[in-house]
Amino acid sequence: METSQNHWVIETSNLTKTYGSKTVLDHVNMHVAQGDIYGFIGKNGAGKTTLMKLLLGMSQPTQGTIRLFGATKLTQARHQIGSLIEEPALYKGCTAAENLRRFALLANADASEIDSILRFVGLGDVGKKKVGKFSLGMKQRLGIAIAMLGHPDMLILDEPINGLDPEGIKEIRDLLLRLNREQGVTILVSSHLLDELAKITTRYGIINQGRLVEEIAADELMKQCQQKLHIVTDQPAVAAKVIKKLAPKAKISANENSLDVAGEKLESSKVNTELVKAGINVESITFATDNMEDYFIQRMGGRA
Amino acid sequence: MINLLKFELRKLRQSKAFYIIFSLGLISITLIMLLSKVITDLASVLGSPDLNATNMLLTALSSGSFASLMAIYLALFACSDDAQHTIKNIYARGYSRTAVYFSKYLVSLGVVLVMAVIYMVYSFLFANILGAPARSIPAYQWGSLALQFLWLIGLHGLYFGLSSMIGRLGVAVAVNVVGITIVFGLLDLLISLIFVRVKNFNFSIRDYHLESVLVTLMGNKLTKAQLLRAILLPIGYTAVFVTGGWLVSRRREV
Repeated sequence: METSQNHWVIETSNLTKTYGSKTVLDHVNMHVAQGDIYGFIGKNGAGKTTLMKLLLGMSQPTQGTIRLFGATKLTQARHQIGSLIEEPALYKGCTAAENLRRFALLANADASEIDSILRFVGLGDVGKKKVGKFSLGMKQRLGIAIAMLGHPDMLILDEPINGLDPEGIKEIRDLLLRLNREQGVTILVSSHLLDELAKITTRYGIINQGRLVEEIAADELMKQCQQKLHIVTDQPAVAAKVIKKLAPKAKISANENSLDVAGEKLESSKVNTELVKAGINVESITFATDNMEDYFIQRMGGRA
Repeated sequence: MINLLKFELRKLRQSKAFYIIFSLGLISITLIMLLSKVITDLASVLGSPDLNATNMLLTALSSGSFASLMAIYLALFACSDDAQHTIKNIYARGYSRTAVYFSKYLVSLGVVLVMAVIYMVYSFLFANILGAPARSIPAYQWGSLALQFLWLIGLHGLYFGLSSMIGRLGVAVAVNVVGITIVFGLLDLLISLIFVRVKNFNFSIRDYHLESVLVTLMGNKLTKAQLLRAILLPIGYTAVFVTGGWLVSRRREV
């Protein structure tokens, strides 16, 4: 088996998926490390589910390669992955336990796991109720239970907290954290609920229109969001040029009468001096705390 | 592959559709045999009794609604995971599409063959209960019985492969039950229209329909051409449709 020498459990290279003339994924290079809780963020239709499906063999890539656990023999590597993609796929005429018994055969899971997993996801008391009569939240929990069968090394979960009430969301969040911290399970999870993701994610991937715009560690993101200089001036475009000379790596976003500078540590007094020297009228310079949600929205191409 | 076979067998054991279809087959055979008994009793007054256990065994697959029931059952079996989207969970667990497809193929083929044997044995025993014991038959009819199993493999290949290609439950049932017959009827009509002016043109596409093979097997001793068709058609149907279903299932997005 061909294996790569790094520690990535998911590594894609130029992964592309097209349907006819429509490119759904465009040369995606994703990197998920062992032990990560990787929050995968993007608008509806950005390509999150498509990428997850490619990883799991539900769809075939048009171009590019995938490595799972460093290996290119994907069917074998997928034995170590539990997943929940889109809405849970269940045998609706069967009980929750029977669904688990069936999928346990595929996951090489011990039948004795089933009761404990059902209790783990809060379905310990559903008895003989058919899955077809479950609420969306219950189905979602059962989908997660199926993903957990066989003690997988990695979970790939697409919107796993959809349809859950606040208590259920907290339970699933705690469950994922426990799996990650106690059993070292790597988790790739997508969600629209950014606040919820932010509570557990160690690394983010942001996808927009099929392109992976950015991969960033959670702590780095926190730093970026905290260090933002907000400058009010009547010449934001000229000011941006001056600041670019001062801090070439800074991320500058200029508006009509202000600009935000992030990504590099700057002293406000030095910035003020340079702007004044350049003949720019500065009304105010303040440190602002950026909102994480705004950061994502900006990376995802603005508000939908 | 072993896990997949266990998985399919577990689903089968708990499948209501399987038990309903199996029971309908038995009911159908029972009704037809009771009807045959009545007709035979009437005919015996005229001096031509024809009901016997061996004959019932040989005609078990053709006398009831076996082919129609298989058409429905195999569509259900081949498409159920696609219809319920549970196929996602199977692929995602690291099973190749080829292994998934052929595990379904093997289990459903086993089911169809076992059902056929049960129907034959049931027909034989029930005929005895009705007071129509076994009779000796010509040796070629035992050969026809063997060919019936080959026919069954072909029929299974056709319905299973076609259903797998279609992938949608309702459409697969409709195509298996009536679609194939309609297509053969239309092709027959088209061919006879095209060759209407050709003298002594006696080709019929219907001869290449598996139904006609079974009818031939129920008749007298086979001619060489009929024997060839009875062997080659099931093999051809299996090769074409099982391969087609496999190729389509390999490419299908789920």
